[in-house]
Amino acid sequence: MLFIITGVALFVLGLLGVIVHKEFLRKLISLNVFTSGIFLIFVSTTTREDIADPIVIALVLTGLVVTLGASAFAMMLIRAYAKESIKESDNV
Amino acid sequence: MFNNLIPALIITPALFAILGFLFSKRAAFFGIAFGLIFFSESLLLLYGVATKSPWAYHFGGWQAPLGIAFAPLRFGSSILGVSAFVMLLTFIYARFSLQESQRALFYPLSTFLALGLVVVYLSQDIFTIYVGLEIIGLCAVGLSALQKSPKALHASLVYLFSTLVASGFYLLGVVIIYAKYGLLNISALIPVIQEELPTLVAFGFMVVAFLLKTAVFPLSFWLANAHANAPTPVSALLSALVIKATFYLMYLFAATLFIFEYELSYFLAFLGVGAIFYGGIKAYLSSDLKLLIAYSTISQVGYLLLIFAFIDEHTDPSMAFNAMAFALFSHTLAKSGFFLAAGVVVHIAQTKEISALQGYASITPVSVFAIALSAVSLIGLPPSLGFVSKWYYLQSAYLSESWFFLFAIIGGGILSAAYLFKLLILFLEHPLEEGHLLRREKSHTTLEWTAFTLSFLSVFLAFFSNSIIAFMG
Repeated sequence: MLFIITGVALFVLGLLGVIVHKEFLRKLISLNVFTSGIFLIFVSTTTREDIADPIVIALVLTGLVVTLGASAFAMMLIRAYAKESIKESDNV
Repeated sequence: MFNNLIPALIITPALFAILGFLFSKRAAFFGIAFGLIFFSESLLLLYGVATKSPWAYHFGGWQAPLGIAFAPLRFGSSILGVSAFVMLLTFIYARFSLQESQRALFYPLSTFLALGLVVVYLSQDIFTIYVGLEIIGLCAVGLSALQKSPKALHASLVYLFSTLVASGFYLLGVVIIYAKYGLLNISALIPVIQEELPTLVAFGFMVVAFLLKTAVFPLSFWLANAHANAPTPVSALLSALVIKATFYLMYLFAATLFIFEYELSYFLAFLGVGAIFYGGIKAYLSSDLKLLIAYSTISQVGYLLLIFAFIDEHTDPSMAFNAMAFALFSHTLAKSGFFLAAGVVVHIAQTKEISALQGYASITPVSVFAIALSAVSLIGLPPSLGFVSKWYYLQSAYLSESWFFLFAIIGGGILSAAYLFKLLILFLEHPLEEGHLLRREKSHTTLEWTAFTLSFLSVFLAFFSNSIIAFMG
Protein backbone atom coordinates (compact mmCIF):
# COMPACT_ATOMS: atom_id res chain seq x y z
CA MET A 1 0.00 0.00 0.00
CA LEU A 2 2.85 2.37 0.88
CA PHE A 3 4.41 1.76 -2.54
CA ILE A 4 1.14 2.54 -4.32
CA ILE A 5 0.78 5.84 -2.46
CA THR A 6 4.40 6.74 -3.27
CA GLY A 7 3.79 5.86 -6.92
CA VAL A 8 0.69 8.05 -7.10
CA ALA A 9 2.55 10.89 -5.37
CA LEU A 10 5.43 10.66 -7.88
CA PHE A 11 2.93 10.58 -10.75
CA VAL A 12 1.12 13.73 -9.55
CA LEU A 13 4.34 15.61 -8.66
CA GLY A 14 5.95 14.77 -11.99
CA LEU A 15 2.85 15.76 -13.96
CA LEU A 16 2.65 19.08 -12.11
CA GLY A 17 6.34 19.64 -12.83
CA VAL A 18 5.92 19.05 -16.57
CA ILE A 19 3.00 21.51 -16.72
CA VAL A 20 4.33 24.23 -14.38
CA HIS A 21 8.02 24.47 -15.30
CA LYS A 22 9.02 26.68 -18.22
CA GLU A 23 12.56 25.32 -18.77
CA PHE A 24 12.66 22.21 -20.91
CA LEU A 25 15.37 20.50 -18.84
CA ARG A 26 13.20 20.77 -15.71
CA LYS A 27 10.26 19.45 -17.70
CA LEU A 28 12.36 16.45 -18.75
CA ILE A 29 13.37 15.64 -15.16
CA SER A 30 9.73 15.95 -14.03
CA LEU A 31 8.72 13.65 -16.86
CA ASN A 32 11.12 11.00 -15.59
CA VAL A 33 9.63 11.33 -12.08
CA PHE A 34 6.16 10.97 -13.66
CA THR A 35 6.99 7.76 -15.54
CA SER A 36 8.83 6.29 -12.52
CA GLY A 37 5.61 6.79 -10.58
CA ILE A 38 3.68 4.80 -13.21
CA PHE A 39 6.20 1.93 -13.10
CA LEU A 40 6.07 1.87 -9.29
CA ILE A 41 2.27 1.70 -9.39
CA PHE A 42 2.50 -1.06 -12.00
CA VAL A 43 4.83 -3.29 -9.97
CA SER A 44 3.24 -2.65 -6.57
CA THR A 45 -0.38 -3.21 -7.62
CA THR A 46 0.41 -6.53 -9.29
CA THR A 47 2.66 -7.99 -6.56
CA ARG A 48 0.82 -10.79 -4.73
CA GLU A 49 2.25 -12.34 -1.52
CA ASP A 50 5.66 -10.66 -2.00
CA ILE A 51 6.15 -12.25 -5.44
CA ALA A 52 6.28 -9.82 -8.34
CA ASP A 53 4.39 -10.76 -11.51
CA PRO A 54 7.06 -11.84 -14.08
CA ILE A 55 5.05 -10.45 -17.02
CA VAL A 56 4.89 -7.07 -15.30
CA ILE A 57 8.65 -7.10 -14.76
CA ALA A 58 9.16 -7.71 -18.48
CA LEU A 59 6.70 -4.94 -19.36
CA VAL A 60 8.28 -2.42 -16.96
CA LEU A 61 11.68 -3.26 -18.39
CA THR A 62 10.34 -2.50 -21.88
CA GLY A 63 8.87 0.72 -20.53
CA LEU A 64 12.19 1.71 -18.96
CA VAL A 65 14.01 1.19 -22.26
CA VAL A 66 11.41 3.31 -24.07
CA THR A 67 11.75 6.06 -21.43
CA LEU A 68 15.54 5.96 -21.66
CA GLY A 69 15.40 6.35 -25.42
CA ALA A 70 12.86 9.14 -25.17
CA SER A 71 14.94 10.98 -22.54
CA ALA A 72 18.10 10.74 -24.64
CA PHE A 73 16.21 12.05 -27.66
CA ALA A 74 14.72 14.89 -25.59
CA MET A 75 18.21 15.87 -24.36
CA MET A 76 19.50 16.09 -27.94
CA LEU A 77 16.51 18.16 -28.98
CA ILE A 78 16.92 20.54 -26.03
CA ARG A 79 20.62 20.92 -26.87
CA ALA A 80 19.86 21.64 -30.53
CA TYR A 81 17.23 24.19 -29.49
CA ALA A 82 19.68 25.95 -27.13
CA LYS A 83 22.38 26.00 -29.82
CA GLU A 84 20.09 27.40 -32.52
CA SER A 85 18.63 30.03 -30.16
CA ILE A 86 22.13 31.27 -29.25
CA LYS A 87 23.08 31.33 -32.94
CA GLU A 88 20.04 33.41 -33.77
CA SER A 89 20.51 35.89 -30.91
CA ASP A 90 24.17 36.30 -32.00
CA ASN A 91 23.08 37.13 -35.52
CA VAL A 92 20.64 39.76 -34.24
CA MET B 1 0.40 -16.89 -47.20
CA PHE B 2 -1.72 -14.23 -45.54
CA ASN B 3 -0.53 -15.44 -42.17
CA ASN B 4 3.05 -14.42 -42.94
CA LEU B 5 1.90 -11.03 -44.14
CA ILE B 6 1.76 -9.60 -40.62
CA PRO B 7 5.39 -10.32 -39.68
CA ALA B 8 6.34 -9.09 -43.17
CA LEU B 9 4.53 -5.82 -42.52
CA ILE B 10 6.60 -5.37 -39.36
CA ILE B 11 9.97 -6.52 -40.66
CA THR B 12 9.86 -4.47 -43.89
CA PRO B 13 9.74 -1.00 -42.24
CA ALA B 14 12.27 -1.99 -39.57
CA LEU B 15 14.69 -3.32 -42.20
CA PHE B 16 14.36 -0.41 -44.62
CA ALA B 17 14.60 2.20 -41.87
CA ILE B 18 17.89 0.70 -40.68
CA LEU B 19 19.20 0.46 -44.27
CA GLY B 20 18.22 4.09 -44.79
CA PHE B 21 20.13 5.14 -41.67
CA LEU B 22 23.20 3.10 -42.64
CA PHE B 23 23.38 4.26 -46.26
CA SER B 24 22.19 7.82 -45.76
CA LYS B 25 23.35 8.85 -49.25
CA ARG B 26 20.81 6.40 -50.69
CA ALA B 27 18.08 7.18 -48.14
CA ALA B 28 15.65 8.34 -50.84
CA PHE B 29 16.11 5.14 -52.83
CA PHE B 30 15.43 2.93 -49.81
CA GLY B 31 12.54 5.16 -48.78
CA ILE B 32 10.72 5.01 -52.12
CA ALA B 33 11.46 1.29 -52.52
CA PHE B 34 9.97 0.80 -49.06
CA GLY B 35 6.95 2.89 -49.98
CA LEU B 36 6.24 0.62 -52.97
CA ILE B 37 6.71 -2.63 -51.05
CA PHE B 38 4.70 -1.37 -48.08
CA PHE B 39 1.82 -0.27 -50.28
CA SER B 40 1.70 -3.62 -52.09
CA GLU B 41 1.81 -5.48 -48.77
CA SER B 42 -1.05 -3.42 -47.38
CA LEU B 43 -3.08 -4.10 -50.56
CA LEU B 44 -2.45 -7.82 -50.09
CA LEU B 45 -3.57 -7.46 -46.48
CA LEU B 46 -6.78 -5.76 -47.62
CA TYR B 47 -7.36 -8.59 -50.08
CA GLY B 48 -6.78 -11.13 -47.31
CA VAL B 49 -9.14 -9.34 -44.93
CA ALA B 50 -11.82 -9.18 -47.61
CA THR B 51 -11.63 -12.82 -48.68
CA LYS B 52 -10.67 -14.73 -45.52
CA SER B 53 -12.50 -15.16 -42.26
CA PRO B 54 -10.95 -13.10 -39.42
CA TRP B 55 -7.61 -14.51 -38.29
CA ALA B 56 -4.96 -13.69 -35.69
CA TYR B 57 -1.19 -14.06 -35.83
CA HIS B 58 0.63 -15.12 -32.66
CA PHE B 59 4.31 -14.17 -32.60
CA GLY B 60 6.59 -17.12 -31.97
CA GLY B 61 3.54 -19.36 -31.72
CA TRP B 62 2.86 -18.10 -28.17
CA GLN B 63 -0.81 -17.68 -27.37
CA ALA B 64 -2.15 -14.91 -25.13
CA PRO B 65 -1.62 -14.07 -22.21
CA LEU B 66 2.13 -14.50 -22.68
CA GLY B 67 2.25 -14.06 -26.45
CA ILE B 68 1.42 -11.04 -28.54
CA ALA B 69 -1.48 -11.38 -30.96
CA PHE B 70 -1.94 -9.32 -34.12
CA ALA B 71 -5.33 -9.42 -35.85
CA PRO B 72 -6.25 -7.35 -38.91
CA LEU B 73 -9.71 -5.78 -38.63
CA ARG B 74 -11.46 -4.34 -41.66
CA PHE B 75 -11.52 -0.70 -40.56
CA GLY B 76 -7.94 -0.65 -39.24
CA SER B 77 -6.56 -2.40 -42.33
CA SER B 78 -8.36 0.08 -44.61
CA ILE B 79 -6.81 3.05 -42.80
CA LEU B 80 -3.42 1.32 -43.01
CA GLY B 81 -3.88 0.89 -46.79
CA VAL B 82 -4.78 4.54 -47.32
CA SER B 83 -1.88 5.57 -45.06
CA ALA B 84 0.55 3.46 -47.10
CA PHE B 85 -0.67 5.13 -50.31
CA VAL B 86 -0.31 8.64 -48.88
CA MET B 87 3.13 7.70 -47.59
CA LEU B 88 4.27 6.47 -51.00
CA LEU B 89 3.25 9.69 -52.74
CA THR B 90 4.75 11.85 -49.97
CA PHE B 91 8.02 9.92 -50.30
CA ILE B 92 8.13 10.65 -54.03
CA TYR B 93 7.37 14.30 -53.28
CA ALA B 94 10.09 14.52 -50.63
CA ARG B 95 12.70 13.20 -53.10
CA PHE B 96 12.29 16.45 -55.08
CA SER B 97 11.43 18.94 -52.36
CA LEU B 98 13.82 18.30 -49.44
CA GLN B 99 17.54 19.07 -49.28
CA GLU B 100 19.88 16.10 -49.15
CA SER B 101 20.72 16.56 -45.45
CA GLN B 102 17.02 16.54 -44.57
CA ARG B 103 16.33 13.55 -46.84
CA ALA B 104 18.93 11.46 -44.96
CA LEU B 105 16.76 11.72 -41.82
CA PHE B 106 13.31 12.10 -43.36
CA TYR B 107 13.16 8.68 -45.00
CA PRO B 108 14.42 6.47 -42.13
CA LEU B 109 12.29 8.33 -39.56
CA SER B 110 9.10 8.13 -41.57
CA THR B 111 9.81 4.47 -42.34
CA PHE B 112 9.96 3.83 -38.60
CA LEU B 113 6.75 5.82 -38.33
CA ALA B 114 5.18 3.25 -40.67
CA LEU B 115 6.26 0.53 -38.24
CA GLY B 116 4.44 2.30 -35.41
CA LEU B 117 1.31 2.61 -37.58
CA VAL B 118 1.34 -1.13 -38.35
CA VAL B 119 1.57 -1.93 -34.64
CA VAL B 120 -1.27 0.43 -33.69
CA TYR B 121 -3.63 -0.67 -36.48
CA LEU B 122 -3.08 -4.41 -36.24
CA SER B 123 -2.09 -5.26 -32.65
CA GLN B 124 -4.51 -6.88 -30.22
CA ASP B 125 -2.29 -6.31 -27.20
CA ILE B 126 -2.79 -3.05 -25.29
CA PHE B 127 0.82 -2.92 -24.06
CA THR B 128 2.22 -3.46 -27.57
CA ILE B 129 -0.04 -0.60 -28.66
CA TYR B 130 1.75 1.54 -26.03
CA VAL B 131 5.09 0.72 -27.65
CA GLY B 132 3.60 1.51 -31.08
CA LEU B 133 2.35 4.86 -29.76
CA GLU B 134 5.83 5.71 -28.46
CA ILE B 135 7.41 4.81 -31.84
CA ILE B 136 4.90 7.03 -33.65
CA GLY B 137 5.32 9.88 -31.16
CA LEU B 138 9.12 9.94 -31.17
CA CYS B 139 9.36 9.62 -34.98
CA ALA B 140 6.78 12.37 -35.45
CA VAL B 141 8.67 14.73 -33.13
CA GLY B 142 11.96 13.92 -34.85
CA LEU B 143 10.39 14.66 -38.24
CA SER B 144 8.89 17.95 -37.05
CA ALA B 145 12.37 19.03 -35.86
CA LEU B 146 13.94 18.62 -39.33
CA GLN B 147 13.59 22.33 -40.00
CA LYS B 148 16.37 23.52 -37.70
CA SER B 149 14.98 26.96 -36.81
CA PRO B 150 14.56 27.88 -33.12
CA LYS B 151 10.84 28.31 -33.74
CA ALA B 152 10.45 24.82 -35.23
CA LEU B 153 12.60 23.25 -32.50
CA HIS B 154 10.56 24.98 -29.79
CA ALA B 155 7.35 23.69 -31.37
CA SER B 156 8.72 20.14 -31.57
CA LEU B 157 9.82 20.24 -27.91
CA VAL B 158 6.29 21.25 -26.87
CA TYR B 159 5.04 18.41 -29.09
CA LEU B 160 7.52 15.97 -27.51
CA PHE B 161 6.42 16.69 -23.96
CA SER B 162 2.73 16.56 -24.89
CA THR B 163 3.11 13.20 -26.59
CA LEU B 164 5.24 11.73 -23.77
CA VAL B 165 2.78 12.82 -21.06
CA ALA B 166 -0.04 11.37 -23.17
CA SER B 167 1.84 8.05 -23.47
CA GLY B 168 2.24 8.05 -19.69
CA PHE B 169 -1.51 8.49 -19.25
CA TYR B 170 -2.18 5.64 -21.67
CA LEU B 171 0.33 3.43 -19.86
CA LEU B 172 -1.37 4.15 -16.52
CA GLY B 173 -4.66 3.06 -18.09
CA VAL B 174 -2.99 -0.19 -19.20
CA VAL B 175 -1.59 -0.67 -15.68
CA ILE B 176 -5.02 -0.33 -14.08
CA ILE B 177 -6.58 -2.77 -16.57
CA TYR B 178 -3.82 -5.31 -16.00
CA ALA B 179 -3.95 -4.97 -12.20
CA LYS B 180 -7.72 -5.52 -12.30
CA TYR B 181 -8.11 -8.27 -14.92
CA GLY B 182 -4.61 -9.69 -15.44
CA LEU B 183 -5.09 -9.52 -19.22
CA LEU B 184 -3.66 -7.39 -22.01
CA ASN B 185 -5.31 -8.92 -25.06
CA ILE B 186 -8.31 -6.94 -26.35
CA SER B 187 -10.35 -9.92 -27.53
CA ALA B 188 -9.68 -11.74 -24.22
CA LEU B 189 -10.71 -8.63 -22.26
CA ILE B 190 -14.04 -8.09 -24.06
CA PRO B 191 -15.95 -10.93 -22.31
CA VAL B 192 -14.62 -10.22 -18.79
CA ILE B 193 -14.53 -6.42 -18.66
CA GLN B 194 -17.17 -4.85 -16.42
CA GLU B 195 -18.50 -1.45 -15.58
CA GLU B 196 -16.59 -0.80 -12.36
CA LEU B 197 -14.72 2.16 -10.94
CA PRO B 198 -11.16 0.98 -11.85
CA THR B 199 -12.21 0.26 -15.44
CA LEU B 200 -13.80 3.68 -15.77
CA VAL B 201 -10.70 5.37 -14.32
CA ALA B 202 -8.50 3.44 -16.76
CA PHE B 203 -10.70 4.45 -19.68
CA GLY B 204 -10.61 8.07 -18.48
CA PHE B 205 -6.80 8.10 -18.51
CA MET B 206 -6.70 6.51 -21.96
CA VAL B 207 -9.22 8.98 -23.37
CA VAL B 208 -7.17 11.94 -22.10
CA ALA B 209 -4.08 10.39 -23.71
CA PHE B 210 -5.87 9.98 -27.05
CA LEU B 211 -7.40 13.46 -26.92
CA LEU B 212 -3.95 14.96 -26.34
CA LYS B 213 -2.30 12.93 -29.09
CA THR B 214 -5.11 13.48 -31.60
CA ALA B 215 -5.00 17.23 -30.78
CA VAL B 216 -8.66 17.57 -29.88
CA PHE B 217 -9.58 21.07 -28.72
CA PRO B 218 -8.71 22.24 -25.99
CA LEU B 219 -5.70 19.87 -25.94
CA SER B 220 -4.67 20.98 -29.44
CA PHE B 221 -2.20 23.68 -28.32
CA TRP B 222 0.83 21.78 -29.66
CA LEU B 223 -0.44 20.97 -33.16
CA ALA B 224 -0.58 24.24 -35.09
CA ASN B 225 3.04 25.31 -34.58
CA ALA B 226 4.49 21.82 -34.90
CA HIS B 227 2.66 21.14 -38.19
CA ALA B 228 3.10 24.62 -39.67
CA ASN B 229 6.85 24.91 -39.03
CA ALA B 230 7.82 21.45 -40.30
CA PRO B 231 9.04 20.84 -43.88
CA THR B 232 6.10 20.29 -46.28
CA PRO B 233 6.23 16.46 -46.66
CA VAL B 234 6.47 16.17 -42.87
CA SER B 235 3.43 18.40 -42.35
CA ALA B 236 1.52 16.16 -44.76
CA LEU B 237 2.51 12.95 -42.94
CA LEU B 238 1.83 14.40 -39.48
CA SER B 239 -1.62 15.74 -40.23
CA ALA B 240 -2.75 12.95 -42.56
CA LEU B 241 -1.46 9.86 -40.75
CA VAL B 242 -0.20 10.46 -37.20
CA ILE B 243 -3.28 11.96 -35.53
CA LYS B 244 -5.54 9.37 -37.20
CA ALA B 245 -3.79 6.49 -35.42
CA THR B 246 -4.74 7.71 -31.94
CA PHE B 247 -8.25 8.62 -33.04
CA TYR B 248 -8.66 5.07 -34.38
CA LEU B 249 -7.64 3.69 -30.98
CA MET B 250 -10.10 5.97 -29.20
CA TYR B 251 -12.90 4.74 -31.46
CA LEU B 252 -11.82 1.09 -31.22
CA PHE B 253 -11.67 1.16 -27.42
CA ALA B 254 -14.96 3.01 -27.06
CA ALA B 255 -16.76 0.76 -29.53
CA THR B 256 -15.46 -2.64 -28.46
CA LEU B 257 -13.94 -2.53 -24.99
CA PHE B 258 -15.58 0.23 -22.95
CA ILE B 259 -19.10 0.08 -24.30
CA PHE B 260 -20.87 1.54 -21.26
CA GLU B 261 -19.86 5.19 -21.13
CA TYR B 262 -22.86 7.16 -22.27
CA GLU B 263 -22.29 10.53 -20.57
CA LEU B 264 -18.62 10.58 -21.50
CA SER B 265 -19.36 9.95 -25.16
CA TYR B 266 -21.63 13.01 -25.28
CA PHE B 267 -18.87 15.02 -23.67
CA LEU B 268 -16.48 13.88 -26.44
CA ALA B 269 -18.97 14.89 -29.13
CA PHE B 270 -19.29 18.37 -27.58
CA LEU B 271 -15.49 18.66 -27.60
CA GLY B 272 -15.72 17.83 -31.31
CA VAL B 273 -18.14 20.69 -31.90
CA GLY B 274 -15.81 22.99 -29.94
CA ALA B 275 -12.92 21.86 -32.15
CA ILE B 276 -14.86 22.45 -35.38
CA PHE B 277 -15.53 26.09 -34.49
CA TYR B 278 -12.25 26.88 -32.70
CA GLY B 279 -10.15 25.47 -35.56
CA GLY B 280 -12.34 27.09 -38.20
CA ILE B 281 -12.20 30.56 -36.65
CA LYS B 282 -8.43 30.35 -36.05
CA ALA B 283 -7.93 29.19 -39.67
CA TYR B 284 -9.99 32.11 -40.95
CA LEU B 285 -7.88 34.56 -38.93
CA SER B 286 -4.42 33.20 -39.74
CA SER B 287 -2.22 35.09 -42.17
CA ASP B 288 0.25 32.22 -42.71
CA LEU B 289 -0.72 29.62 -45.34
CA LYS B 290 0.64 26.57 -43.51
CA LEU B 291 -0.83 27.76 -40.21
CA LEU B 292 -4.23 28.02 -41.91
CA ILE B 293 -3.96 24.39 -43.05
CA ALA B 294 -2.85 23.30 -39.56
CA TYR B 295 -5.83 25.00 -37.89
CA SER B 296 -8.10 23.45 -40.50
CA THR B 297 -6.80 20.06 -39.27
CA ILE B 298 -7.91 20.93 -35.71
CA SER B 299 -11.33 21.80 -37.10
CA GLN B 300 -11.60 18.61 -39.17
CA VAL B 301 -10.66 16.41 -36.20
CA GLY B 302 -13.88 17.68 -34.63
CA TYR B 303 -15.92 15.89 -37.30
CA LEU B 304 -14.29 12.59 -36.36
CA LEU B 305 -15.38 13.03 -32.74
CA LEU B 306 -19.02 13.61 -33.68
CA ILE B 307 -19.35 9.82 -33.95
CA PHE B 308 -19.49 9.69 -30.15
CA ALA B 309 -22.82 11.52 -30.18
CA PHE B 310 -24.39 8.64 -32.11
CA ILE B 311 -22.38 5.66 -30.87
CA ASP B 312 -25.15 4.46 -28.49
CA GLU B 313 -28.03 5.37 -30.78
CA HIS B 314 -30.41 2.51 -31.25
CA THR B 315 -31.64 3.76 -34.60
CA ASP B 316 -28.69 2.90 -36.83
CA PRO B 317 -25.13 3.14 -35.47
CA SER B 318 -23.68 1.98 -38.81
CA MET B 319 -24.75 5.26 -40.39
CA ALA B 320 -22.66 7.31 -37.96
CA PHE B 321 -19.80 4.86 -38.39
CA ASN B 322 -19.87 5.40 -42.17
CA ALA B 323 -19.89 9.16 -41.60
CA MET B 324 -16.84 8.96 -39.36
CA ALA B 325 -14.95 6.58 -41.64
CA PHE B 326 -15.52 8.82 -44.67
CA ALA B 327 -14.52 11.90 -42.67
CA LEU B 328 -11.29 10.10 -41.81
CA PHE B 329 -10.47 8.98 -45.37
CA SER B 330 -11.49 12.32 -46.82
CA HIS B 331 -9.29 14.26 -44.41
CA THR B 332 -6.32 11.92 -44.90
CA LEU B 333 -6.33 12.36 -48.68
CA ALA B 334 -7.51 15.97 -48.90
CA LYS B 335 -5.20 17.32 -46.22
CA SER B 336 -2.06 15.59 -47.50
CA GLY B 337 -2.84 16.85 -51.02
CA PHE B 338 -3.53 20.33 -49.62
CA PHE B 339 -0.23 20.49 -47.72
CA LEU B 340 1.81 19.17 -50.65
CA ALA B 341 0.20 21.59 -53.12
CA ALA B 342 0.64 24.50 -50.71
CA GLY B 343 4.28 23.46 -50.42
CA VAL B 344 4.76 24.07 -54.16
CA VAL B 345 3.15 27.52 -53.92
CA VAL B 346 5.28 28.43 -50.88
CA HIS B 347 8.41 27.16 -52.63
CA ILE B 348 7.82 29.32 -55.69
CA ALA B 349 6.73 32.38 -53.73
CA GLN B 350 9.43 31.99 -51.04
CA THR B 351 6.92 33.19 -48.44
CA LYS B 352 4.11 31.73 -46.36
CA GLU B 353 2.24 35.05 -46.01
CA ILE B 354 -1.22 34.57 -47.52
CA SER B 355 -1.55 38.20 -48.65
CA ALA B 356 1.61 37.84 -50.79
CA LEU B 357 0.21 34.85 -52.69
CA GLN B 358 -2.21 36.77 -54.87
CA GLY B 359 -2.50 35.49 -58.43
CA TYR B 360 -0.40 32.36 -58.07
CA ALA B 361 -2.95 30.33 -60.02
CA SER B 362 -1.33 31.68 -63.17
CA ILE B 363 2.08 30.24 -62.23
CA THR B 364 1.15 26.92 -60.72
CA PRO B 365 -2.38 26.12 -61.92
CA VAL B 366 -2.17 22.41 -61.06
CA SER B 367 -1.36 23.14 -57.38
CA VAL B 368 -4.20 25.61 -57.10
CA PHE B 369 -6.54 23.11 -58.76
CA ALA B 370 -5.40 20.49 -56.22
CA ILE B 371 -6.08 22.93 -53.37
CA ALA B 372 -9.53 23.60 -54.84
CA LEU B 373 -10.30 19.86 -54.99
CA SER B 374 -9.14 19.42 -51.39
CA ALA B 375 -11.33 22.35 -50.42
CA VAL B 376 -14.34 20.69 -52.06
CA SER B 377 -13.78 17.59 -49.93
CA LEU B 378 -13.01 19.50 -46.71
CA ILE B 379 -16.09 21.71 -47.03
CA GLY B 380 -18.18 18.68 -47.95
CA LEU B 381 -19.49 19.75 -51.36
CA PRO B 382 -20.82 16.99 -53.63
CA PRO B 383 -19.40 14.83 -55.11
CA SER B 384 -16.56 14.16 -52.64
CA LEU B 385 -15.69 11.87 -49.76
CA GLY B 386 -16.29 14.82 -47.44
CA PHE B 387 -19.81 15.13 -48.81
CA VAL B 388 -20.56 11.45 -48.21
CA SER B 389 -19.38 11.88 -44.62
CA LYS B 390 -21.48 15.00 -43.98
CA TRP B 391 -24.49 13.39 -45.63
CA TYR B 392 -24.38 10.40 -43.26
CA TYR B 393 -23.78 12.66 -40.25
CA LEU B 394 -26.72 14.88 -41.16
CA GLN B 395 -28.95 11.82 -41.58
CA SER B 396 -27.88 10.43 -38.18
CA ALA B 397 -28.47 13.80 -36.54
CA TYR B 398 -31.85 14.18 -38.23
CA LEU B 399 -33.07 10.67 -37.41
CA SER B 400 -32.01 10.92 -33.76
CA GLU B 401 -33.41 14.48 -33.58
CA SER B 402 -30.13 15.95 -32.27
CA TRP B 403 -30.73 19.43 -33.63
CA PHE B 404 -27.68 20.88 -31.90
CA PHE B 405 -25.34 18.58 -33.81
CA LEU B 406 -27.27 19.10 -37.04
CA PHE B 407 -26.66 22.86 -36.88
CA ALA B 408 -23.05 22.35 -35.76
CA ILE B 409 -22.37 20.23 -38.88
CA ILE B 410 -23.95 22.78 -41.21
CA GLY B 411 -22.27 25.73 -39.43
CA GLY B 412 -18.88 24.02 -39.53
CA GLY B 413 -19.25 23.48 -43.29
CA ILE B 414 -20.04 27.15 -43.84
CA LEU B 415 -17.04 28.17 -41.73
CA SER B 416 -14.68 25.92 -43.76
CA ALA B 417 -16.14 27.35 -46.96
CA ALA B 418 -15.43 30.86 -45.64
CA TYR B 419 -11.70 30.38 -45.09
CA LEU B 420 -11.07 28.08 -48.06
CA PHE B 421 -12.93 30.24 -50.61
CA LYS B 422 -11.12 33.31 -49.26
CA LEU B 423 -7.85 31.55 -50.07
CA LEU B 424 -8.94 30.32 -53.51
CA ILE B 425 -10.28 33.74 -54.59
CA LEU B 426 -6.92 35.26 -53.64
CA PHE B 427 -5.03 32.68 -55.73
CA LEU B 428 -7.23 33.35 -58.77
CA GLU B 429 -7.26 37.17 -58.61
CA HIS B 430 -4.88 39.40 -60.59
CA PRO B 431 -2.76 36.95 -62.64
CA LEU B 432 0.98 37.58 -62.24
CA GLU B 433 3.17 38.69 -65.16
CA GLU B 434 5.19 36.30 -67.28
CA GLY B 435 8.44 37.18 -65.46
CA HIS B 436 7.41 35.21 -62.41
CA LEU B 437 7.30 32.02 -64.46
CA LEU B 438 11.11 31.96 -64.38
CA ARG B 439 10.97 30.86 -60.74
CA ARG B 440 9.39 27.57 -61.74
CA GLU B 441 11.74 24.61 -61.72
CA LYS B 442 11.43 21.35 -63.61
CA SER B 443 10.86 19.35 -60.41
CA HIS B 444 7.77 21.41 -59.59
CA THR B 445 5.78 19.46 -62.18
CA THR B 446 6.30 16.17 -60.31
CA LEU B 447 5.48 17.87 -57.00
CA GLU B 448 2.28 19.36 -58.39
CA TRP B 449 1.00 16.09 -59.81
CA THR B 450 1.65 14.03 -56.65
CA ALA B 451 -0.35 16.61 -54.69
CA PHE B 452 -3.03 16.60 -57.36
CA THR B 453 -3.38 12.79 -57.24
CA LEU B 454 -4.15 12.87 -53.51
CA SER B 455 -6.61 15.76 -53.74
CA PHE B 456 -8.28 14.23 -56.79
CA LEU B 457 -8.80 10.92 -55.00
CA SER B 458 -10.40 12.71 -52.04
CA VAL B 459 -13.13 13.77 -54.47
CA PHE B 460 -13.17 10.92 -56.98
CA LEU B 461 -13.38 8.02 -54.50
CA ALA B 462 -16.84 9.27 -53.52
CA PHE B 463 -18.12 7.50 -56.66
CA PHE B 464 -17.08 4.21 -55.05
CA SER B 465 -18.57 4.97 -51.64
CA ASN B 466 -20.98 2.04 -51.87
CA SER B 467 -18.20 -0.49 -52.41
CA ILE B 468 -16.17 1.11 -49.59
CA ILE B 469 -19.13 0.75 -47.24
CA ALA B 470 -19.69 -2.84 -48.37
CA PHE B 471 -16.01 -3.63 -47.76
CA MET B 472 -16.00 -2.27 -44.23
CA GLY B 473 -19.18 -4.19 -43.48
